[in-house]
Amino acid sequence: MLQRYSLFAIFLHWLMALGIVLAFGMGLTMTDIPGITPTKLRLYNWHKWLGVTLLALAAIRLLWRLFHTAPPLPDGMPVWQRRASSAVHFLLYLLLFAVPLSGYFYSLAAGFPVVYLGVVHLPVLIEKNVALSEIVKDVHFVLNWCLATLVFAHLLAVLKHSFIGNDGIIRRMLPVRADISDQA
Amino acid sequence: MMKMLTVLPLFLFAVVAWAGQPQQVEPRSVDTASSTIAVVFTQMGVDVDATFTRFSGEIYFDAAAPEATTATVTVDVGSFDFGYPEYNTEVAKPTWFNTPKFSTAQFELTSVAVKTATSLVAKGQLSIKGKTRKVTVPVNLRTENGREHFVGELKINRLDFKVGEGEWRKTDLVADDVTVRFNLTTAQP
Repeated sequence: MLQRYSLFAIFLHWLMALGIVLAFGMGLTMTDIPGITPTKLRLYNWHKWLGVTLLALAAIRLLWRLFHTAPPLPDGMPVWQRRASSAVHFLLYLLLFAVPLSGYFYSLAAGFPVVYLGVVHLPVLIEKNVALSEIVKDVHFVLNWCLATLVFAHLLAVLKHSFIGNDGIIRRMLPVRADISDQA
Repeated sequence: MMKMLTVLPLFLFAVVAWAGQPQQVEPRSVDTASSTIAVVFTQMGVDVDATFTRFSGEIYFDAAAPEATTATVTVDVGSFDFGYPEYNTEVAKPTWFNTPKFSTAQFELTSVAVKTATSLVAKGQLSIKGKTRKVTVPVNLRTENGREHFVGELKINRLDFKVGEGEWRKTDLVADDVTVRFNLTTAQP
């Protein structure tokens, strides 16, 4: 029987997926608003709070991954697919940190410290530097599009495995009945 | 002889009175290049600041006769600089400073109390956007090379002056408490 991730890992995956889609949507919307408006101010701050939350969740997720083994891939899966999967997942983990971190430093460089939920003053690691903020803004933008591309590739693979070959791989990340050994 | 005897004490009195006069008899203008007026405000919990780059002022301060002190500072509200053009444009609007109608903000001293040689308490009238309020602010005074440095933080409520009206009234967006940080240096005598 196909083994799946534990319920905790599954929960984290979907929670973060939802959060990332929301944050991405906010990012696209808020930067389109001209001038300075209350809505824009709120969106920017909510986007940052969500980003910080996602960074914390990414840390938890990484910790989980370091102390647990992922369920094994099906026996018949070709080596190139295993390698591709590893590579994409590795890059996704990298971006789960790089994207919110670049956003955080962009905010600091622009002269806006992040106050989580409006109450917790997060560390001001760098001083205001408007010239630097322009660069970090571009980094945040590029990394986000890398993330979007990899998520798209990830989705394509899921669709492929669901409709071509139908190896049920999607059930690794769904809370279905499965044979859970200690490792997951 | 008698005439000289009556004139002499008067003459001596005049000399003594003149010697006792304070050195400075003219108000000193504020040297804008060496002074700053900044405003710190809070957006959804985040403290940010801006400066006013154009202002003028005249201060006459005499420690021996504080009741004779005068001070006026006039700020060109259009010189508000947040570092981002969109913000600077926004604050000139009617909901904020309404700069086209109220181009200056002014502080006029009414009294000053000298607590120590370096610590003063100034009371005066602050006028912004057509509204005037009494304010009190502790001021630190430092004199270097004959120039006076008046430094302090004036805490005001923006809503008292209707700065940030309509959709910007909500204090969770921009807090009511605003701090005006000033460092006013007088010109060389």
